[in-house]
Amino acid sequence: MLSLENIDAYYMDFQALWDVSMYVEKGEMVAIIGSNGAGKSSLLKIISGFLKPTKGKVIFNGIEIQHAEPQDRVEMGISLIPEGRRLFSDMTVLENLELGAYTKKARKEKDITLEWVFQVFPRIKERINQTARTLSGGEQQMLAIARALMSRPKVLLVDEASLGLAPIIIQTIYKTIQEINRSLQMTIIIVEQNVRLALEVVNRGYIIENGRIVGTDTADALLNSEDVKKAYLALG
Amino acid sequence: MKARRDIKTILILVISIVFVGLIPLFIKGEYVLNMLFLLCLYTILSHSWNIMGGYCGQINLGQAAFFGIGALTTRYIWVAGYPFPVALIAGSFSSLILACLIGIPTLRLRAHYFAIGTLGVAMIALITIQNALPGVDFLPASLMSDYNPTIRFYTALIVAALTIFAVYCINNSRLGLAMKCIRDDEEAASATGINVVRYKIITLMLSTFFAGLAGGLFAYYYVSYYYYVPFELMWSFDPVLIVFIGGAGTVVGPLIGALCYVILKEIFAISMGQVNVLIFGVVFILIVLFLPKGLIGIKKR
Repeated sequence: MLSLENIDAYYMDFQALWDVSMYVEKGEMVAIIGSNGAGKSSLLKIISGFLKPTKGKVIFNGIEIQHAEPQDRVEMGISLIPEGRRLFSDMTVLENLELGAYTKKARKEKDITLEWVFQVFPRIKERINQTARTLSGGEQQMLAIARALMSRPKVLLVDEASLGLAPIIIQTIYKTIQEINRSLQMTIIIVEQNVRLALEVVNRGYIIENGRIVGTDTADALLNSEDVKKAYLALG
Repeated sequence: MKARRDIKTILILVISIVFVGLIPLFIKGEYVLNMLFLLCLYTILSHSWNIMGGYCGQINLGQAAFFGIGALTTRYIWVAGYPFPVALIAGSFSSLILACLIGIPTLRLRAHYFAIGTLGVAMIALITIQNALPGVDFLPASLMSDYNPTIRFYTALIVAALTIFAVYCINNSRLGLAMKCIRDDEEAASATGINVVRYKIITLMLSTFFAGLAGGLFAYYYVSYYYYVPFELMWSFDPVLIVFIGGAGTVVGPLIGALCYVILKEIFAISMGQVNVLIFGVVFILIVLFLPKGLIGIKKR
């Protein structure tokens, strides 16, 4: 459904991604794992359009989209939940959700989507008239996910949803993301520093180091691999 | 809840506009009329800045160029014999065209660079006019004979009312929502599917249109002035000050700001001459430090 072919990407003179290729099937949930600065977020930026590759292709449903702007990719069905949530904090919860459905296609189905989003996140519904900044960290992350869902995405990109949250809330958030993936067959790509957590919820993982993909396997295989244990799970 | 707040806002606006409109009936004199005209002029100009700066977060310091070109064009067409409303609209569109020519390229600049770039535009316009049209623009005798400041004030009042109404509509529209998003977080705005560049262009065009209207009214009200006067940089900085005094990104704020500004300026300019510029600088710093949401923010606290 979505694939990257031989992507190179730069920030000014600094090369962040080297010959990266990956793919995701429809309905699959995939994690990109790696340490700080390995290029995880850059990879999501390539997919969402905030960073343009200097070489290589991004193919979505058979169409090359590497030159498309972020807002056009939202329209196509690729929605990013940015790192650090990036809510519109002076606006109300409802306004944030309405903004999520800003694209033409999503606007038509706004009310239905809203109903459904409230079912997934009942906590959000209780707070629709509060400004986003008054929510707790966990609720803000839920709102960020809900806002992304409002655009009716086909692919959901989740960047570090665990950032700054208590462990028990992180669990809830990832369970919800998994639930969205299972019940709707929604394709999801997550980027996560907490490798164990990520591998417990996804089907497959890519390991990225210094801007290169160094390994890929099913989640279970990765969890049991000696290299991964040593490098990321602080075991062995 | 929100609807009730909206009705309250509309009531406040309508009452203040009607109140301002009634003042000349009870207090006669050109002095009062002049003050009231300035109030309307500054309301329009500061709202034009407010659309771009307050709602969309783009600090445009080139407003003087758009105000000036509006004044120049309106005056030219009006003096050429066309009815004033036609001239006024033409003047506004001339600002809009200037925005397309000069403003849109500068929109490629972000944040501070946009502010500096637009300030550059204003300075280039000022210097160009100072050299190209060094003289004084007099109204011809034919137009002088029916000069009536009262009519001119009421024209300005109507335009101000329409401007406020337009900003009110923007405030409650999807366009307004998109503008506020861009102000709060450009990247998150794109991530939700908002075309940031397109909305910035629309905002700039709206903003300059109203700046042109204000310029046109200036050309309508004043009998004679140096051609460069409506291009002076104070037309860029005054609206910024007014919007911040009243409250950026609000419908009522610039109205309150304009009222304070006109009164303060009258007091300080009479008693202190050029020192008033210094005082407004201090006022600006104090407002930004202690009332970042302007006078309108006091109520909300």
